[in-house]
Amino acid sequence: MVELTMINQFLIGALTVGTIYLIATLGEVLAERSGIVNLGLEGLMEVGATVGIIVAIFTENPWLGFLTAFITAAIISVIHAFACITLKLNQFASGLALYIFGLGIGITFRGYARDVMLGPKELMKIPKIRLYPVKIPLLGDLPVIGALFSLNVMAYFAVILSIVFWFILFRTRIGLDIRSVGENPAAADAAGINVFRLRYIAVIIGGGMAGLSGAYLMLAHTPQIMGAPIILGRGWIAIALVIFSFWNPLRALLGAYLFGGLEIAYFWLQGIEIFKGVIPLLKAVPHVSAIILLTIMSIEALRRRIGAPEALGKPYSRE
Amino acid sequence: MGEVTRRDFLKGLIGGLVVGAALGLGGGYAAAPKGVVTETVTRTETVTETVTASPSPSPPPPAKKIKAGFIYVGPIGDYGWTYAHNSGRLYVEKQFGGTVETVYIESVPEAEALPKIESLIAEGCKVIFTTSFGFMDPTLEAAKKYPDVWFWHCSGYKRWDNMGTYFAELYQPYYLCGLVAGAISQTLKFGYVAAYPIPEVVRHINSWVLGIWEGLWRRYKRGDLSLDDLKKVEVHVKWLYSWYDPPAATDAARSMVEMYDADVLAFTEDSPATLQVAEEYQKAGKKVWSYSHYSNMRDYGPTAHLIGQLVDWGLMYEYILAYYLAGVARSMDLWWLMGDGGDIREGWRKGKGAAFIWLDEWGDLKAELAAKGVPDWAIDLLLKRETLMKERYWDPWSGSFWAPIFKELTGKEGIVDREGNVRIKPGEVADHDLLWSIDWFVWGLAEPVPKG
Repeated sequence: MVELTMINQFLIGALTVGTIYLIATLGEVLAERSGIVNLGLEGLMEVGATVGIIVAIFTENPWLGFLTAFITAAIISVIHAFACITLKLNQFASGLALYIFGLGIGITFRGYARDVMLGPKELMKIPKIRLYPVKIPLLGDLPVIGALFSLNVMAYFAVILSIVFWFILFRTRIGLDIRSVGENPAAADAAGINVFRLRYIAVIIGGGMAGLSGAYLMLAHTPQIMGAPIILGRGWIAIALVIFSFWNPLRALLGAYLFGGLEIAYFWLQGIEIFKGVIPLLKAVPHVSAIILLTIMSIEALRRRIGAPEALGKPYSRE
Repeated sequence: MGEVTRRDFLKGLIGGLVVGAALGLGGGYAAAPKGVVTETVTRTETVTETVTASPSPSPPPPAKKIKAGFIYVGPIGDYGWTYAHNSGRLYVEKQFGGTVETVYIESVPEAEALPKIESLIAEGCKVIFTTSFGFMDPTLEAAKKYPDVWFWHCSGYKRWDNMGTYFAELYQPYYLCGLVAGAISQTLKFGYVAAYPIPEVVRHINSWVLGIWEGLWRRYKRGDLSLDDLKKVEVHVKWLYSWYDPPAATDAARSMVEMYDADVLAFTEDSPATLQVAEEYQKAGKKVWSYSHYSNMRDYGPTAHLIGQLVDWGLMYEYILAYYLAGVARSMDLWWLMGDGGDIREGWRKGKGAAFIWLDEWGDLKAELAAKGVPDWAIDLLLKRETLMKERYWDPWSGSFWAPIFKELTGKEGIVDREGNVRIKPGEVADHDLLWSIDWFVWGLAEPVPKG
């Protein structure tokens, strides 16, 4: 029975960490379905983390933290949308600039908040605002799968979001429009779809999701208030997960939890003799697969084969 | 990317970077604390570098005003290693008034150390501190290349005519932390979140575990624990392979509480994440304890916080720069233990010193620890060991001290490693070289030191 509760705890850990990836990946799936790559996720997550924790500390309300993190990251994404959609600049370059910008202001403001705005009293609020797991009665007590019903509220919300995103993208008119804009913007334009507006919406919501993911990392997993990075490469893994999930919100669920599981397994399997050989591998897998997946995406022929949106990364101009 | 030419890409990249940089700088400027802004260097000094080709550096004449440069491996906001070094930098700047001007570069990767050192020299720095083990070879290279500049490398072992090494050692504070852990633990399972399997970290883990054994041993002798209880003791280590990764440290710390029921967590990671995990369990009604590491982290987990392994690097920087300002700069190997660097006016090794376990602002040590359930005898023992170590009458790495204890636990006399071999025989003590190259774990650790 001891083993069963341990498996339960392992799964709770994996799903909690996986949710960080899931939220960011969903946003990027939406943006890329409309044809715009946003390499700035890491920076936007850093901004979301900062805004989320500061607002949550001052209002003592994590939900306001999530909301403002989403809004701030969405507003910053307007820069990317403007650069890529209106100015038709290179999306990869603009994304990288967004990454550097987000990283810079995210870290600077967090350090500022600690050194200037916050006293020890405010810091003591941090453990209080952390999200605790909500156990669904009866289901949460089941062995092993009970973990699925013992998560924090945001983790459930992220699952609902991925179903909603899938439904919108594949079962509604507006989803069809977004996908067609990502596949063939000229044809979509000819059919009377407002390419620019849809792309703006997708990029802004996608960026906001990255902010939400950063705030989630802070408030549900590692509340930190310091002038140092916190995302530490997790944004790049989220971008790779978009490819892993073949631009499908439901498959993103699988990829995100898998990578979350790998991250937890790295610590849980350490020191167990039979897993000795696997440990270095576990540490490397997310990063190596991120590199491989990003390489695949940069090769056009391969990209087409795995079903990437046809017009991904290409600016659209009416001519 | 058929239609996008290279020129477009570059245009976009440059445009994006310019916009990003401008916004970032604007934001950074607006957000930077006032103190930092004024620190940005004003290049009024005309760099008149008369290159004298003297092979060995002659002690410089007493300088009126000097500039010291710091190379940091992490961000100054990390709240651990680099934060502590930066506090030391601010301390010397204040202490020496206008005599010492300081500049720093943060988050320097090892490969970029030499160019960054050279950029500090170009700015007119005459003393340069490099604060990571990985900067050892680049610092040595720079020392050979610039004989008229003084170099100080933290935590390394390579020295030159104009390059010294310095380190404030924490194995004694870790021992005291272990002592409290052994006295307070109910589950008799312990967890350590560790950065890399290098001698420094292995030495700290071992010292912590020896401290745990003394705490547990006293409880056994007092009749609070049986010998069977002592046989059930486990210490687990989870390796991060990173000096700074708060989310990973959180996962590692949690895994040890969930898997082994560990109730005291120590760590070598430059954030309070592990202490925060302990605090979270405390809030949920489970007694899990942790410490401060390098910086004052207590506010992150006031309930779970016991004592700390703390360093005041400012005292070391003051000592080194005082030599320089007095015109008697020399290459030294400074390895400060507890009690070193204290104010001599307070009495023989009575001052706080560079490495310590308690900050005055935390209040009364006895009352605070007693309120958390540390028994009085353990607090008295802690203070006694602290005094004895500071005054250099006692050190945990002595074979004779452990002979009776490990005899009863393992049947062997001396300090015994986890495989059961005697490593330090009765009558022997671990010396500097042994501690600086240690690659084995003492008795009680569940897993061996990972290789490679």
